[in-house]
Amino acid sequence: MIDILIAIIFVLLAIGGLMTPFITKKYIGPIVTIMNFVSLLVALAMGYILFSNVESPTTLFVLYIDHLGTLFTILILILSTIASYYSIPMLKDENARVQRYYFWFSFFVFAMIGIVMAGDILSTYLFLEGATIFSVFLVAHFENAEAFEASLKYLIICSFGTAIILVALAYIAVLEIGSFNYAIIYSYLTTHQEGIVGTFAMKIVFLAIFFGFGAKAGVFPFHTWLPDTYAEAPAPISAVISGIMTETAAVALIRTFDAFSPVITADMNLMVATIGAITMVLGALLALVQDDLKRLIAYSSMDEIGYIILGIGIATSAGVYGSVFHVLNHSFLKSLLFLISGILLYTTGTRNIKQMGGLAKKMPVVAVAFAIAGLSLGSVPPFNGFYSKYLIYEAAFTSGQVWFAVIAIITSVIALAYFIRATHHVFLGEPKMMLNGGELKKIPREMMISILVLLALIFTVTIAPQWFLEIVTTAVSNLMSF
Amino acid sequence: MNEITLLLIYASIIVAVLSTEITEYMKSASLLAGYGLLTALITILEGEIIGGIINLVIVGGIIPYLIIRTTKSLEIDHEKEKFTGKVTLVTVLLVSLGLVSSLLFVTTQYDWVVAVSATLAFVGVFCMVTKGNLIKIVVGFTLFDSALHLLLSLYSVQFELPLDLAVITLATTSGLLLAVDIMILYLAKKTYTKLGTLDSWSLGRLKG
Repeated sequence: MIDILIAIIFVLLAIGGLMTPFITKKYIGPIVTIMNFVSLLVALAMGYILFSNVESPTTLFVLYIDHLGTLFTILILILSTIASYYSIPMLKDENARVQRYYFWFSFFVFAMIGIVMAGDILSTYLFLEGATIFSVFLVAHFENAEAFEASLKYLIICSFGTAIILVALAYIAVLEIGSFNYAIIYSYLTTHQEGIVGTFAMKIVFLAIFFGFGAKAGVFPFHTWLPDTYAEAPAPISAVISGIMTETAAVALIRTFDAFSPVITADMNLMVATIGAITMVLGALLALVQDDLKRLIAYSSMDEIGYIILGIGIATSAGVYGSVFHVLNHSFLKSLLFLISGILLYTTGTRNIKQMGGLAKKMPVVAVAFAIAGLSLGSVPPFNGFYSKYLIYEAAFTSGQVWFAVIAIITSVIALAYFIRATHHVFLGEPKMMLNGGELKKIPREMMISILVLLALIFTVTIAPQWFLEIVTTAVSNLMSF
Repeated sequence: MNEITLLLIYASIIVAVLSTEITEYMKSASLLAGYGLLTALITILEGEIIGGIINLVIVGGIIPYLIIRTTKSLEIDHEKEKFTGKVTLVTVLLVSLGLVSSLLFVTTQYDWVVAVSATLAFVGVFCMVTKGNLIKIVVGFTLFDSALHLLLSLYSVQFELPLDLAVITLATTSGLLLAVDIMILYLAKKTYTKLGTLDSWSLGRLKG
């Protein structure tokens, strides 16, 4: 049954994309949104079947439909439905570009679901590269010099990173496993560890895998595409890339590490945790000095990706639970922040936080949503971001890697500082000059509803973290090595 | 690995370096085509016929054609940056180092394949990093990616990767290389039309 359901999701998304050239501009947005929403309902049905143990994980062609993949498919479709709906007023004054936007958007979502569902390393590579190619058109949507610049940088760095994964494919050929399937690689490596563990070749392959997927996630030193891409892409696309795509790369990393786990040594894990910590600290420090709101949120994404990578590098079950839970929380929070930045740009005409001010009086709901997201990412209890980060701190402490826990806690304080700074400049104090002739534009209904839905999701996780943690634990414990 | 293959390998390294160094786009693209032909021959001689044909069509044919077409449509025939010889110098040093170390360490064909692919990949990466020109970035990326394809092709023969899997892998990864190159050329064209430059350094923030 679940194999049929995943096929339905792919077909719906493909139809949504292929229909766009034949539909009048007015109806494209609503139709693609409906397609995403129906796909979400199908994914929820899949989730129910899998998590209540009605059916076991199964395969369909190159896909492996398991708990982790299904959880992230649901997440992708929640955010893609919201982003698609949010885009409707943003695109209402555009003509030919609307069709192109929704066409690439549908296939971008298609590719991201492929990444989390791929059952072998070649398919993951294929879908990852596909996601980059489809999203480049979305990043370049506004067709100005900055957008081309940003999309070129994004394409070159991400494609370069993904190409490195070919080294891992070549190594699998050398091992004569005869397949790129994750489960087959895992079972082979479990029984043939001798002569592989700790070898120079294995270390090179490990680096290739880590930086290959890490480039897409924006880990140091491949982070340079993040600020330009997020700043120049339309807000809903920034929300989707930051809230989902970087996370799908983290999921791909988890799956590949899971397959290679029998031969991954402690020094390799330490390297991953160290890169995670560097990414985290660098992102936080760079966010602290940004006046451009979207660049600030972009560097904050880098900061949060650092936490996720750190959790993976800690390499205990608790660390990976914390990482996956943080992926979930970060998706909601960062999408909310990018959508808010889109609203602020739409209403004030600027991204510079120093040109804003006093907006809390004009848009109180947006101000509250921004503050909640900031507090949550600053790891303030009882918000959802606190729970997942706490799991990562705890995992670092209990595994004896106390320094990583200390760095992570300090970085959370920095995160809190840059969000307080941003909230102060944007929403508090005296109103400053608005670039749209001194008047704020009215917030469109679609944008407001999108914000409220995300806020409701964040509240749900905040109120019932244990329930979400159980889902995450089930998803991760169904992997091969956890 | 026989003498002919060895000769082709050295020739492909020289042609790869020249394609990154030559400032005229037409000649650079032609050299890239030559590189595609040479690496295809290496692959075919080593027994991976389908992989070689795919390489020949994409790296030896379509990508150079697209580079020539793009530069012609923009009415530019050479990059502004003058010949520096950086890539040549570094590659000569690298190959010399490789030759010396090979006399000491390289004993199996397994090591040779890695050494050749690593050298070619290095030429590509070095070109991407040191040349700001977007067309040269396409050349560099193609060299880098196809060097990894060469590694994969030769290993798939040597270690008997199932033929269908080897063909699927090479076809999909080569297809993606082509797609990425097309995208970079498309964006380069748009950037040139908007800003009048193909130099990524002068695009300021592109440098990162």
